[in-house]
Amino acid sequence: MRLMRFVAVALLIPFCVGTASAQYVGAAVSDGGTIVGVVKVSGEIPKDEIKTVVKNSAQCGETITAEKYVISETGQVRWAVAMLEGITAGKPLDTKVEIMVDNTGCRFAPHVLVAPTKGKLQIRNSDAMLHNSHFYLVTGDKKKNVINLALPKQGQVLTKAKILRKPGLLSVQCDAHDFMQGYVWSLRHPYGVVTDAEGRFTLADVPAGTHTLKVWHEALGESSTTVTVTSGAETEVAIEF
Amino acid sequence: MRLLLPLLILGALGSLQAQEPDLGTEAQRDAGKVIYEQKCAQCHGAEGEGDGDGGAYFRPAPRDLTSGTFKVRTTESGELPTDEDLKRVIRLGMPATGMPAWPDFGDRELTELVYYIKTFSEDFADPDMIVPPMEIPQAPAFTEASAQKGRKLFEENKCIDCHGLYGRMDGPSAPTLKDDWDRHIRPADLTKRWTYRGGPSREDIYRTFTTGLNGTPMPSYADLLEEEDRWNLVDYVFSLSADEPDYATVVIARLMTGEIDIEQASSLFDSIPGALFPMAGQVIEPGREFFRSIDAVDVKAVYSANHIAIRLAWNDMSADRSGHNSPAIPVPVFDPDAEASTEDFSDAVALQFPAKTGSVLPYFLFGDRRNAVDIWFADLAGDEAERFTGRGSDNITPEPLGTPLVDASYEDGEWSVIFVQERQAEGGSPFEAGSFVPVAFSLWDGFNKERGNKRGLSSWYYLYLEPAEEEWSILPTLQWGLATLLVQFAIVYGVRRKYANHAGQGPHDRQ
Repeated sequence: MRLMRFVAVALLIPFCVGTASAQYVGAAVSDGGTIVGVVKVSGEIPKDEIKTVVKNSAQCGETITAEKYVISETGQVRWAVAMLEGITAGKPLDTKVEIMVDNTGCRFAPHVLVAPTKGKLQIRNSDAMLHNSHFYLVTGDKKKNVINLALPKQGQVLTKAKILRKPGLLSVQCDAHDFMQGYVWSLRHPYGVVTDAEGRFTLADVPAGTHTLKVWHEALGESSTTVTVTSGAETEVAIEF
Repeated sequence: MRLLLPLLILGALGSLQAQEPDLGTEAQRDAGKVIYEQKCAQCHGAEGEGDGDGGAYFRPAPRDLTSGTFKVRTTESGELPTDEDLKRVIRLGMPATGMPAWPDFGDRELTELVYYIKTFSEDFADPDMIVPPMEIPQAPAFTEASAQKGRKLFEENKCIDCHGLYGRMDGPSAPTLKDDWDRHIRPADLTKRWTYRGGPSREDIYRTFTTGLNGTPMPSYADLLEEEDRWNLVDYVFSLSADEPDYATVVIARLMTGEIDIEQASSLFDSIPGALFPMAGQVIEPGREFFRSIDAVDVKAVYSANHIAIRLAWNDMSADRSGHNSPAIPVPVFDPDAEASTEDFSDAVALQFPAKTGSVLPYFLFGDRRNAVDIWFADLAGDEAERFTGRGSDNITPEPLGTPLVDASYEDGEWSVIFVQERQAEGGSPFEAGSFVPVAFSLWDGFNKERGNKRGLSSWYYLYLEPAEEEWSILPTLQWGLATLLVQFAIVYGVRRKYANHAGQGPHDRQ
């Protein structure tokens, strides 16, 4: 435990000293508008992948769904992330918020989440088995090791600041169960959100003006659109893959 | 908790000092580049991407130095190594991999080389990414009691999920483990401390599971264990291995009373010390195996009046019993995509002896045209042995007569295979008591798609049939002693008789 504190504290010091190279400035947004959108697929709706549980199937079942394509009959896409790109000022980013990735039933829950860069990410193991949470920062087709944490016991919770040290897409995998896959988007600003079961998302308090809206999905890819936000109004967008 | 405050202060100082990346001077980096291009680029690649020409023949593959991902570090999981960490790996090498030790570099050269290596990843220039190292405390003395406690922790913390209870890499997760580059990676065989990448000392073991091995599935246990538990765990891991491999050149077969029963054979070897032989990949004949996975085989032998029994044991991540195997399966010249092959090959083992007793030893790769070898083969998918005559790797024919018996079992990550054969089997050289019989071993790991010439093998060693002391040394001595005595008596008697008739002319009367 001492070692952990030693490292954790040592890691925190640079943040306290104030090395933060602020590319995003937060302040209350009074003239903001809202972006309301839906993410859909056109054409044939891909079926979710079924993964064979090769280990601990007594607890997790023989198969689990990959949650890769959680898409409604009408084509609405869950687990996509809608985010603004290149925004440098807006509502404050809350880095104190508690965000958790849970290892439960041999899956990462939630499957996809958005977290503030330099915030703290909690990792929990709800299963009575070994999980390890192995985070990678993904850029294009390259992935870079960020941390690999053992969680051998049920109920274990670890909090790590360094996971969210850099912005970008984090992939989280479990080496003990190679079929487990989750994603965390580390964002410098608060304008990022995961789509719900109906493929919908809402970004509130967006400063009025023109913004680039990016939508990411683990398998469908990325799509960018320009959105013009008017003060006090809702702007509707539909993203189609 | 008493130590927390000093540690905090140390940590604060460390992190403040460590803020500025140390990239050396341009002259130092240039000097390092010269060394790198001479000594390192062949495997690690001109641009450090781990794609040098030599790299294709190594598993584990050479490190992609642009990744900023390094296994052996004193820093937290996922972090960059310190300069000292990098120097250590260069100086000591990575045991049991293609990375040799470079003990002859001077401090100045090492420093220059490290500065150059750091240019491959921009993270080394990023103040955000520079973190202080952990202090590895000095190890308390090893105790059995500590190792016993450690065994429990080893189970509770699920080290067994990959490494297996006795460290033979047979945990249920082992077959699906991948490294950061999506290549299969094996857990460390904890019964062979000399192969640990991070080093064999107890402090090394402590560091390895505390900081994890970046780029591999080995996670960090930094947050999970109290200091005392940590040393208990170290001591259990330490207790699983001998200090040195202690490789043998001869396996001694002892004579046993009674006959050898294959059904009961495994109990014959319980009290016999094994002889450990190193295994190499077959890289001479087509079908080369650059990535052999089984690095050693433990051999024991006994013999009776009519039979000889030889037991081979080795650690294997998994018992591969599906598919088939044979020494005669053709393999392409170099088969880099073999792992992608969908065909299943089972684990297999072979013993090889010269087919005739003679002064010329056959070529160790399944014999040669003039000097055949007798091959006892067991495909571990089944429960019967086969016999082959080898006159070279491309000339292996089944031998229908005198097939040995085999008994194979796999438990806790260890294969144990016993061959029983007649000492005077037809078509083979006899196993005479008191003789040294040349023997060589071949092992096929089905998981690695090994078959035919793609296998692990040994060179020639010897099987010595130790003669029984009672029968063969004391009794003949007594017999010969008695016979000599009788002859002496006879001579004395003869001489006395001869001179008895010439009394007064004997030697005593001359004076």
